Amino acid sequence: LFQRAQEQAYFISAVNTLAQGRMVPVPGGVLIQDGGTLLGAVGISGDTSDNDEACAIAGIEAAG
Amino acid sequence: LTLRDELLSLRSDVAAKSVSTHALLFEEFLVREATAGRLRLPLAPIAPKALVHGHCHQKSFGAFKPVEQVLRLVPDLNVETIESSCCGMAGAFGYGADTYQASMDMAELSLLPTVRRADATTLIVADGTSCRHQIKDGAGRGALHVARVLAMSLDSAPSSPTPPLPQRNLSMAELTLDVARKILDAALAKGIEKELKPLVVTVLDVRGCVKVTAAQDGTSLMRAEIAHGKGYGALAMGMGSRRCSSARRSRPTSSVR
Repeated sequence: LFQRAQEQAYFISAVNTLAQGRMVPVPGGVLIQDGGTLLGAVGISGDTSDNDEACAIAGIEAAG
Repeated sequence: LTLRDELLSLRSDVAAKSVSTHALLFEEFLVREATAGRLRLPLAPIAPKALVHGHCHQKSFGAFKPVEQVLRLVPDLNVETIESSCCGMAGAFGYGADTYQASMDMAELSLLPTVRRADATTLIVADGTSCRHQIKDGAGRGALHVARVLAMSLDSAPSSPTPPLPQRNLSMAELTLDVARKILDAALAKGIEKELKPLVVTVLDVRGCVKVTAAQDGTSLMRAEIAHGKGYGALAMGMGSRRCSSARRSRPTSSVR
């Protein structure tokens, strides 16, 4: 599992290089889904990442 | 040609001149795209031969050559120009009782005899509406605009090369501005309720394009970029950024930044 996780970490780093550094892989980015359909994403920054994420989830839940 | 020619008779300001300079005829546009290698039409053979009559306005503006060039895009079509002058209709000229005979005499000089000699498989092509009237009334043959010829050729193609839009694209519309605003407002309200530091909330659609974004008063310099990056990262990986994050955390400590 550790081996797998390490590969995953390099993978994320590599993908972010491909994405020209536009990804910020910390909590606070949440996908918006309707059933199984992906609609978009919310990103929040300002407080701790956990609090940011809680607000994002609250926002999505409020919109149904 | 209305935009290129007649517009300048109505007004001569810079805007009119700019429009006139940039206006392209349908055929000119297609020739330009074909020359640049950007035109990929699945054209199929429709007839062995096309007889083309140029409209006077096209000919006087040197705009007839593209008509022939576009017709030559149709496979196996032998494009031949009818050596004629004006068809004789000239707007309402051919309808006037005192000018009708002159109009028909002009048409009989070359255009109508040539059309009558054409066999049934030959397409008669004329972009001018009044030219087509004259051909129909004088020779009993329907003539086609170039666009109609291309449409026939496209319809004859075995199958369209353009695949139907994937279903996923249709659902893009489902994140409406209204829904995005509700998410934004509720997320900001949650931040206020929890008495958090000033937040930036960014809602992205499925393509990663910003739908709405808002910064509470007092946010620091990079907050908007970070918020965008979190949402963008979630979309890019197809997972919430918490899962991105746990994958990230498991990397060797020496490279964690």
